[in-house]
Amino acid sequence: MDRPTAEDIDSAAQRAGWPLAPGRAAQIAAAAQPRIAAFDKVRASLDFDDDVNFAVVLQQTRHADGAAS
Amino acid sequence: MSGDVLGMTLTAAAQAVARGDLSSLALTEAAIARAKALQSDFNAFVRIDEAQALADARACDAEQAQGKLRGPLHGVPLAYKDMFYRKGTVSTCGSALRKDWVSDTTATVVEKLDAAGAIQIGTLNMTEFAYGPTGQNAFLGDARNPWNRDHITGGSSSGSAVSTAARIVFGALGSDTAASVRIPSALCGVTGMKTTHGLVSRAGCMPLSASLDTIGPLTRTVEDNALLLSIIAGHDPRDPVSAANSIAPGAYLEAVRRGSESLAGLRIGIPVGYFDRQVDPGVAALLKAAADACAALGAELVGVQMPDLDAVNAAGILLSWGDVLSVHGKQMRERSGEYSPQTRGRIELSLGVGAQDYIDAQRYRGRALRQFVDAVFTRCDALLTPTLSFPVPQLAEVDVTGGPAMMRILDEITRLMRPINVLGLPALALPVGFTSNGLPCGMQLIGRPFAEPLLYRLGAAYQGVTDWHTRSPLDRAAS
Repeated sequence: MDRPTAEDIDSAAQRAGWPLAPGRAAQIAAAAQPRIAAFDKVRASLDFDDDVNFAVVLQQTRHADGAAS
Repeated sequence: MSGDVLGMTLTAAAQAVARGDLSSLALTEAAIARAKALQSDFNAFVRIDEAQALADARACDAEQAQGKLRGPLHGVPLAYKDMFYRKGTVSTCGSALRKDWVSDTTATVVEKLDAAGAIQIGTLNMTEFAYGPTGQNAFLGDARNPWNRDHITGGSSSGSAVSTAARIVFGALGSDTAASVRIPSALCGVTGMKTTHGLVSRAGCMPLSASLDTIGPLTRTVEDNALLLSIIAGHDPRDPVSAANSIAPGAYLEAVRRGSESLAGLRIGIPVGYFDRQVDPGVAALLKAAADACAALGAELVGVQMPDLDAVNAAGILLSWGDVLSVHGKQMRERSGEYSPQTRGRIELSLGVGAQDYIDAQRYRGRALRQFVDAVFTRCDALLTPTLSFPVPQLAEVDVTGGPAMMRILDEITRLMRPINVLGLPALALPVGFTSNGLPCGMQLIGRPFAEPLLYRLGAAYQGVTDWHTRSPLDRAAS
């Protein structure tokens, strides 16, 4: 089943304390589903060793200091 | 000195004031006069700080007369998006929620520009809470594109691009979370730098997405852009993600000077996949001409297959949703009725992300960056891509409320830029001509982390052989 569902959104809105108009949860779920699905393709490949510290990877892959060539 | 002093570059204006050829007061008075004259047309400003700016200008002139210069921007008028805090003044962040909100701190970037001698003449229009790429704002009124008022400016740094393009100020500060420096730069025909994640401090700036927010300058030329970045870049302990090892400030202007050299030995990547998808033929032709200009300067053009950027783009949406859900949680509980309906609708979408989605997207960023660098920057030194895949739309074409139609439009406007924020890379937006509707078109040059000097060198070389960056919407209006 595609997620999130409208029920998921309603629950999230209740936890957040945000008022939603009738039918809005279904719209949000419909907007979120393709984005979650697009990310699910790579999510499955995440492993134990995937680095949480993005800043470290930025430094490891950086361009040579001050070099313009 | 006669003529339109506001038509000078920032660099030339700063030099003229430093030499005493031009007074800061004359420049600042001219900037304020134009800001007022064009406000009803383009709605670039939230507030014009006339008295303070003129007092600052007089002080700069007095100091210059004594041989004292505050720094490289001594006496030069600038303006900042209304989300860069200055202690004791209102920062609306583009929202009715903050119409009277007074900051108790000053942004690090503002402190640095103050120390360099810049004069802030006011605060600039922006998308409400910087959350949207069109530049529209129901509270402040829409900023208008100076090339044609019926078209969007792009956002969220709408006033920053408009005030720079319309020769009101010599440059402006903007922020870029998904496209917000590059898209208004491209749509208004100015030069904008989306900086490497962590290069420029966000301390004292309104947060939208701590994961993705970056600060960058909008100017008319690459040289001016490099000058501003050389002042605002650098480590700041007030920003927890500020990079400890950034680049020597002189590297940016040195790279611009190298723009007069041949580009032989540099490889410019032409993307195969993702960035070439659904691109308007007119936009594609302008991008090809820009690539050909780089080749004529000696660069080698190489086709580069793109990795899966749809997943990276999706990760960016999940990251921004998670951050927005948190940042706006309390206000949405207590004051949701004070948001504009469009902004509230966008914020509500953040309920679509779950905690595990957000954490996984964070964990994915490092892997995604490594994969992108391996796939792209082992084959080229910089990537040349469009910014917006279609000509600048009219306001009426994007004037939609929440729901699927809004998401389709917003997704496509940001599609070519958002992945670069997820990857944390620098990207320089440059004007490359005009599409058949008469509106500007832009490219972005993307490099490795902290490759701003290389991008400035390439951009300076390109602007050395083209004149798109010198075109003024005021000239077109007068003709």
